[in-house]
Amino acid sequence: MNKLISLEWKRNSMRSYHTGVFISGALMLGLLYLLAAIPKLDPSETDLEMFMSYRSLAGLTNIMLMVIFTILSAVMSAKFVIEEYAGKRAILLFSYPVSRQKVLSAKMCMIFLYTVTAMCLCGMAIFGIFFGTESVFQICSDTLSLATILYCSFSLVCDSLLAGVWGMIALWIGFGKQSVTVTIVAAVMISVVMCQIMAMTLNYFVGAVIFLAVGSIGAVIAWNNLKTNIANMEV
Amino acid sequence: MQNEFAVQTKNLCKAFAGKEVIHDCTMSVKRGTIYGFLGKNGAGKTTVFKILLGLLKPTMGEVSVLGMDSCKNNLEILRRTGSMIETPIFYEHLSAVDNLRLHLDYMEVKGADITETLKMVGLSNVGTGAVSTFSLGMRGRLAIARAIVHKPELLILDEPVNGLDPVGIKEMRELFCELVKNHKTTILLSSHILSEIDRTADRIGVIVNGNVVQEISPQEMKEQYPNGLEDYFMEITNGGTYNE
Repeated sequence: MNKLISLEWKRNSMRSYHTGVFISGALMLGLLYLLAAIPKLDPSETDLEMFMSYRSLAGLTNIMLMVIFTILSAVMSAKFVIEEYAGKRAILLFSYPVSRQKVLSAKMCMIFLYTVTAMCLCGMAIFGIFFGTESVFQICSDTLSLATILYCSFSLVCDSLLAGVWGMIALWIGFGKQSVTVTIVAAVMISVVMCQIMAMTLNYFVGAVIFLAVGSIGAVIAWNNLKTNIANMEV
Repeated sequence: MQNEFAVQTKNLCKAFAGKEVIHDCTMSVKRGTIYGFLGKNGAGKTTVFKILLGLLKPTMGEVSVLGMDSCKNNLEILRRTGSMIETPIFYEHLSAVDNLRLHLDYMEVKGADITETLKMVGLSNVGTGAVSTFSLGMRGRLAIARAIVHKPELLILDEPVNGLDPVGIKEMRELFCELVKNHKTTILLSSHILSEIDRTADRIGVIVNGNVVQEISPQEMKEQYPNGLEDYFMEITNGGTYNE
C-alpha cells in the first residue's frame, strides 16, 4: 500500500495544492489577528466576548480551517478519483496488474492523509505564530496557558480528522454522479452544515468524539461502497 | 504443455443495456505471430480488445488469454501483456522517461531498459520535456514504447500507427516484425490502414457487426483476391460467411 501511495504522489502534480494550503494558512492567520483585534477596534461593543478568549478564537479558526480543508479534500478527490475513473484515464489505470481496490484505497489514503497532515501543519503554523506574537505583543485579553495550548491542539487534530472524513463522504456522493461539481458542492454543504452544528455544541470534547465516530462510520461505508463500484466497473 | 494459442475466444457475446455489440465471436491468435484485426468503425474491434484485457466482462462465451481465463486471471494476464487501447493517455506533466518509469513501477518490473525502448520507437532525443509538449506522432510512439517496455508476451494494439507519418509507420512495422522474430512476442493489432495489415500480419481476422466472420492467412487471401486486401475487405464487410 505504501508503494501505491508513493506512486500516486509521484504521478500527480501536488504543487497547486501546496500553494493552496499556504495561501489558506496565510489568510486564516490574518483573519485570526483580525478577530482577536475586534474587541480593541470597537471597545463600545458589548457582545464580543467570544473574541476575547483564546479557546473561542482557536475553535473558530479550527472550524473555518475544517471547512477549507474539506473543500480542498473534495477538489483533490475530484481530480484524483472522479476524473480518473470517469474519463479515459480509467483504461490506463485498469491496465496495471494491481488490484483495483488497492489502487482506489491508495488514492483515498493519500487524499485523507494529505488533508489531515496539511491542516495540522497549517494550524500549527498559524497558532505558533499567533501565540508567539501574543507572548510579546498581546492583542487578546485572555491569559495564555498550557491548558489552552492543549485544547487548541486537541481541537486542531479533531477538526483535521473531520475534514478528511467529510471529504471522503463528499467523494462518495460525487462519485455516484461521476461529477466533479457534485463532489465540491457536497463538500461545501457538508462542511458548512457540520460547522453550524459543531458551533452549537455545548461541550466541544464530547461533540468532537461523537462527530468523529459518526463521520468515521460514514467514511468506512463510503470506502467499501466505492471499492465495490470500482471492482465492477467497465470501461 | 503450453497452449499454442495466445488468444482464443469461443462464442463470445457482449451486450450493453440489452443490445448485443459482440455476438458469437470466435477467434484464435497463434503464439509468436502477428494477427491483423480488421473491421469498420463500430464493428467491435476495441470492445473485443477490452474484453481480452478484462476492462469489460463478457456477457457470455469463453475467453482465454495466454492460456488463462480473462476474468479469473486478469491481473496475471495484464502483467504479461502490453496494450494500447483508444487514444493513449499519459501523465502530461512528466517526461517520457518518467512516464515509462512509473509504468514499470506499476508493472512491478525491474531492470527494464527505458533508453533502449525509447530508441526502438524513435524517441531517443526527447530529453526531459513534459509529454504535454509532444506531437500526436510522438505520443503514438510513446504509447507503443509503454506497451513494449516491460517485454510482454502479448501485445494488444488498437490502431497503433494512428497519427504517425509514413516514416513512423514503416519504423513501427519493422519494430513489430522484430519483436515477433527475436522476442517471440504475439501481436494482435487493429488498423484501418489495410496496406499495413497486409505487410505485417501472419493472419487476418475480419469482424463485422460484432462477429469475426473470417480468419485467413495473407497467402490464402491473395489466392482468392488477387487485387489485394482492399477487395477482400470490401467483399467480407458487405456480407461474408460466418467463422466456424
